[in-house]
Amino acid sequence: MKNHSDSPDQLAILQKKLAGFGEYSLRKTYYPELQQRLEELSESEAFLKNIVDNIPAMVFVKEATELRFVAFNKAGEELLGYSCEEVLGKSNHDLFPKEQADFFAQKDREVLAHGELLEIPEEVIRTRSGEERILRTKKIPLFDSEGNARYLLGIAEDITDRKHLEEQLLQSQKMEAIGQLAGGVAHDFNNILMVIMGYGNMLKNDLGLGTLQKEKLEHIIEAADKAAQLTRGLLAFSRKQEMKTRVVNLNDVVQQVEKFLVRIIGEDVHLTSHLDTPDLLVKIDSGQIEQVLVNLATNARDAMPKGGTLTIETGLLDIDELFVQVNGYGEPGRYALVSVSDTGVGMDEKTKARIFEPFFTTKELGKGTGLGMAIVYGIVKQHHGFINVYSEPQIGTTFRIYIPLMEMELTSDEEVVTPAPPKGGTETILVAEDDSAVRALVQEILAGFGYVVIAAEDGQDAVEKFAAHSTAVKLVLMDIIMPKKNGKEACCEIRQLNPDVKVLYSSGYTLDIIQSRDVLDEGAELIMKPVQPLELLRKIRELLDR
Amino acid sequence: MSETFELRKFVAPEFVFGVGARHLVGRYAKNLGGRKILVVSDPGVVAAGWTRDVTDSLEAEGLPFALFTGVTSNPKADEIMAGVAVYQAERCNAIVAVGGGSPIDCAKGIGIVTSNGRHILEFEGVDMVKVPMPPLICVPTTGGTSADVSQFVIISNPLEKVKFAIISKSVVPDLALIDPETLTTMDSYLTACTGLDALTHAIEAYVSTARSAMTDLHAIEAIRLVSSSLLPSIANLADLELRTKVMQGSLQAGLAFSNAILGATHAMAHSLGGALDIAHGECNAILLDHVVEFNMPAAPERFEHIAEAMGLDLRGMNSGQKKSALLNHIRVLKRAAGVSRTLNELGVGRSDMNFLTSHALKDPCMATNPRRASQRDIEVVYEESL
Repeated sequence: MKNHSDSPDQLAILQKKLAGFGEYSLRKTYYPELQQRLEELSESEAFLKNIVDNIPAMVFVKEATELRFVAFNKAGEELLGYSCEEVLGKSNHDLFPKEQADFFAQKDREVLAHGELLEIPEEVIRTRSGEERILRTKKIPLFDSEGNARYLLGIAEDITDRKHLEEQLLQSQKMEAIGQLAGGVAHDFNNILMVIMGYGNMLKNDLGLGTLQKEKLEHIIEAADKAAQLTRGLLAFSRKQEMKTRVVNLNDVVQQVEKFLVRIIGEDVHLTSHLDTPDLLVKIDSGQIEQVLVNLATNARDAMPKGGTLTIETGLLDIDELFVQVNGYGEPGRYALVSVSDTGVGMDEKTKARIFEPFFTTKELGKGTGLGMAIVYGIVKQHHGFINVYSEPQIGTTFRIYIPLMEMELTSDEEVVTPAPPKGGTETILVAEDDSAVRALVQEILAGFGYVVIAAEDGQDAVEKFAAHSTAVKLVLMDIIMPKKNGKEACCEIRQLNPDVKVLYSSGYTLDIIQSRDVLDEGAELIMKPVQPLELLRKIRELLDR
Repeated sequence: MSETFELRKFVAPEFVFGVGARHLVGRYAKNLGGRKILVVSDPGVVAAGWTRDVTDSLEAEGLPFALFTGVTSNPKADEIMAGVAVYQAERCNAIVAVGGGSPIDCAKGIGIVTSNGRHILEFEGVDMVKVPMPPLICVPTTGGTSADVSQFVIISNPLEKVKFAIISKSVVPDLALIDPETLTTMDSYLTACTGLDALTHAIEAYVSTARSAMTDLHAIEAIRLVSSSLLPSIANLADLELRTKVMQGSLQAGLAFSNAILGATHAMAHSLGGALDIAHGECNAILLDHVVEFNMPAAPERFEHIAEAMGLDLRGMNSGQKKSALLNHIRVLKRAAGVSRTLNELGVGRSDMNFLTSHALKDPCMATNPRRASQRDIEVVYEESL
């Protein structure tokens, strides 16, 4: 009969099963109590899974023998980019680069061997997308009833963003500390310099002094003046400068300063600008913001020795909690944004990290003071704004400055002031300035607006040049502190030649220092250095028209 | 041989047998912890009024219920899944089936799917149900299927035109309320078909290779009861005493085959029912004598017992005479009961042989048939039944 059937063995097995005891099916009825318990069980399972899934940290369990994953929560899925199904049953080496997997496995074994919780403060893990995240992980052995470590429970928190923020915070704390230090030093230093310069000048007037001694004395005063310029920069960085704020349209400020930037950046650098059309009303000291732009443009120029493009853009930006969270700085609100980009050599990470520190410079010795960017930083901070920098070596650098936008409701005394475009003239102006770079800059600015400029490099030179052109010169722009004769002395002599000539002093010191040193005539006009081109032009025009 | 000493199980549910048993549904449903009951029935049974009796009983106990009557004969997989949807939507926790084999098998299917959470098609075979089902009470209204006491569920898969069996202790109901009164609404033809179905159960169980002493007892008594009471019952449809005898025969046939399993008649009938949606009882009746003829050489003594139980006197006959006496008796019984159609008349042709045979050979019931059958053997039996 056997040959009659196509699969007698199969049939025999089936017959055995049918005649058997039904070992694989249960005869217990699924009673309501049982249904209830099963329902509760599955609810409780879902509840626990829900809890584990919603723990905002990666939670995983590995079995102790082969260290394969047996549980993996939702946060883990999101963090690593693998689904639970993909992870379960896999080992460290199936999922992560060898070096990392070795490390994880070593730690896993350690925990299972010692039977104690282990905290790994930082470990790097590669996600599915290839991104590396930093984890703080706790590994905990899970024991069976006989005390054997059967499973390993892991709870890993992604601390990548926090690490990033900590670094940011550290940086800003460092800047703050340096600012405090610099400000304190500068303040005390100014007092000391005041004494040196005061007595130096007094000594200079001592007729008993020989020419040789006088010359040495000039060097002392000159050095003290240089030191004073440095302290001024430090003061700006440490935000101890006096602010003269007005509500202006930031676009106007940028537009006007652009004209001077062209001169600063030279012929090889092309300047383009994209100014946001709506008004960006900000309450700022426009002189200081001009200085920020000048400093940034100067830097940009130096970054582009072979030419390139400098781009200035403005815009409006709403900064929300997210931005703050992501970037680790700033305050939520509406901001006017000015970005200054160059196509220059760019910076590496190390340089970028220190760019705003005072006395940090990449320029040749003697070419920069190392204060330019520190001053930018100080000014922006003083305006309750913030600044960031993006840079790539050989590609370029972009600085972004965020200044809080004015609320639209203006109080009566805060009318929107649109700075009048500066008017030029054809008058002759004598510029007395010992710093050749500043002198050249001022000369260029004034010449650019039609004025005839006669340059003098110290007080003595100024008196002599004035004497030669006494009728032509309508205004003297004079640095207060100069070698040979200081501003006040030179002015006295010039006034003797022509009492009607207009005099405008310039100084890098804050007003209170100047006044305390009594180097200024009563009622004399003063313009603060570094020279803000617009302000200088306005002031000059104003004086000439008086 | 060691057959006598072989270990054998005997599974049977608690059952209440007797006129009026159906009215106990409410009390038992409550005892089993029912909160909301899914009542599975079919339109014919509803029209006969038996479903109403059952739901009244539930209401009397204050038990809410949902009625599902989307069942046709040879219950389809989709009908079961539809019932599951009702069970879940109505948040039921127990099931009552009222009707013949179709509503009872449908109810069993609903139970399996709700507790195991998988499609009904996945349970085909022996011992494939892992999680037990919700409490199930059966109120059979035909004296044939015995699904109310068996561990069988037969489901149609119309897509593949096959019927498949789910055989598991898990599908034995918790309780059967077997009320002969419910048979009184069956017409003579349905009475004949279901009665011959019961007789087939008993005969196949008695010759099955999985039989035991305990199943033999029930099988032989079932054969005695049905063969003596079926024709009188058909002739006196309202006679409750005769109905009771047929019903008891059906019950005992059920107890026997649920444990001893069946044979080639059922395997072939399942194949037919799947392919052509023919009523199960009629299929069995048509095939029975042909299969008996095929099987007889494999268990001649057994068939002699069967013949004797049917009231035949075989004394002095040789084996050939015994065989024709039994076959003749069965054929006379069929004819007298009014089942005279052949497969051909039901729309089966020679072109169906291949499909029918191959599926019949795969049916689990074939595994306990006393004689191993080849493809050709089965084809021949089908051809004889045409």
